[in-house]
Amino acid sequence: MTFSYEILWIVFSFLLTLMVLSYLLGDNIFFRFASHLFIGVMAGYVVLLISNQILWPYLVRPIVNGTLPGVLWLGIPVVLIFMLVLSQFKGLTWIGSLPLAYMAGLAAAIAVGGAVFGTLLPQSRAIVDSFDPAMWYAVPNQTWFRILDAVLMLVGTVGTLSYFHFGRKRKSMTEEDLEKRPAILEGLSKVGQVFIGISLGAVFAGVFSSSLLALIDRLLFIGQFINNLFRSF
Amino acid sequence: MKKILTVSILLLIGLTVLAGYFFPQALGPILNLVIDWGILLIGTAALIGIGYLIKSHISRVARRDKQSFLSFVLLLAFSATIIVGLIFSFNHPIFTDLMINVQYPVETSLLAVLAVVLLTASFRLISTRGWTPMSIAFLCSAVVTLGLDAGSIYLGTEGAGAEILNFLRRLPMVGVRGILLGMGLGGLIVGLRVLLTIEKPYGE
Repeated sequence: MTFSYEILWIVFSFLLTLMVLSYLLGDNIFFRFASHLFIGVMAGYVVLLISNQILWPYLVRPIVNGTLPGVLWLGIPVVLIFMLVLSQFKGLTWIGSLPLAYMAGLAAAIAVGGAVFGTLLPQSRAIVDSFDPAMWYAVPNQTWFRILDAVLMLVGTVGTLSYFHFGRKRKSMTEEDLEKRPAILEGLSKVGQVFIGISLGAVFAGVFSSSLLALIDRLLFIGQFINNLFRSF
Repeated sequence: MKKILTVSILLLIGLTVLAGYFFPQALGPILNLVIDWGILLIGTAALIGIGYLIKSHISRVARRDKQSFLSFVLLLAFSATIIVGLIFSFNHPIFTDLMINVQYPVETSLLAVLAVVLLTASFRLISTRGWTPMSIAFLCSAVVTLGLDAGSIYLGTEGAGAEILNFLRRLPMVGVRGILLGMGLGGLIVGLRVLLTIEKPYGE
C-alpha cells in the first residue's frame, strides 16, 4: 500500500516537473495547468497557515482559555477585524479606514525604525569603520591596500547613491535645467553605474548558479524516473 | 470626526511603535500587544485577499470563460488542500506529503526555467543595450563571481593572492551598500510621509 502511495506521488511530481519545464517551449496549457494547480494548493495552504499560526494562537485560544481582562482587551482587534471584513461590502467601504489606519501606522513605524536602525546606521557605520586607522595598520605591509579599499568603498557607495539621485521639479526649473545635473554628481553617477553593474552581476551569478543546480536536479529526477520505468518492465 | 479618529489611530500606533525602539523595556508589553493585534489584522487582510482570488475564479467558472477549466483546477486544488488540512492535522504526513509533492517539483522546476530565462535575458541585455560601462561591469562581475563560486579562480590561501580574492569577493558589496542605503532612505521618507499624514494609504 505504502509502495503504491509513494509511486503515485513520484508520478505526480514527474508530471508536474514536465508541465513546468514545458514552458521552455513557450507558454502552453500544460504550464498553465501546473501553475493554476500550484496557486490553488498554495492558497489553501496559506489559509490553513493563517488559521493555525495566527488566528488560533492570537485570537481563538486566548478567548477560549484566557482570563476576563485578557478577553476584554481582545475586543479591540475583534472589532477592527469585523470592520475590515464589513468594509468589503458595497456601501460600507468607509468602515475599513480605521483598521487600515492601524496597519498603515504600524507598517510606517516599522519601516522608519527598520530603515534607520536596520539599514542606514549599520551601513553608514561600516563605511566609517573602514576609515579607522587601527584597521589600516592591523596587518603589516597592507596599509596602503586597506586605505585604497576604504576609499573605493566610499566612492562606490556615494557613486551608487548619486546614480539614483532623484530631484523634485521646482516651478522655476525648465525641462532643460532638469536634465542638467551638477558635474560632480554626473561624474559620481558614472562611477556608480560601474559599481551597480558589478553588484547586479554578482547577484545574477548567485541566482544563476542556484537555478542551474535546480535544473540539474530536475533533469536528474526525470532521468532516474525514466530509467526506473524501463527497468520495471 | 471620522477623519480625526483615523489620524489619531495612525499616530497613536505609529508613535507607540517608534517610541518602542527607544524605550524597549518600558514599552515592551504594550508594543507586543500592538504588534500582535497588527499580525491579526494582516492575517485577516491576507484571508480577504485569498477570498477575492477564489471569488474571481468562481465567477470565471460560472461565466464559462475561455479558460474556465484552469479556474476549476485552481478551485479544486484549493478545496482539496483545505479539506485534507482540516481532516488531518497541519503536521500529518498525508498533508505534508501533499504540500511537498506539489511545492517541491513546481518550485524547483520554476527555478530551473529561470536558469534558461536568465541566460537568454543576459544575452538580450548586451545585444539591446550594447557595451556600456554598466553592461561590461555586469558581465565581468558575473563571470568572476561564477569562477570564484566554482573554485576556478584560485590565487592561494595567504598573502597578496588571498587579499586580491577577498577584495574581489567584497567588491559587489560596494554597490549593494549604496542600493541598501538608497532603499533605507526611501523607506524612511515613505514611512515619515505616512506618519505625517502627507500620504494616506488608508483612504479618507
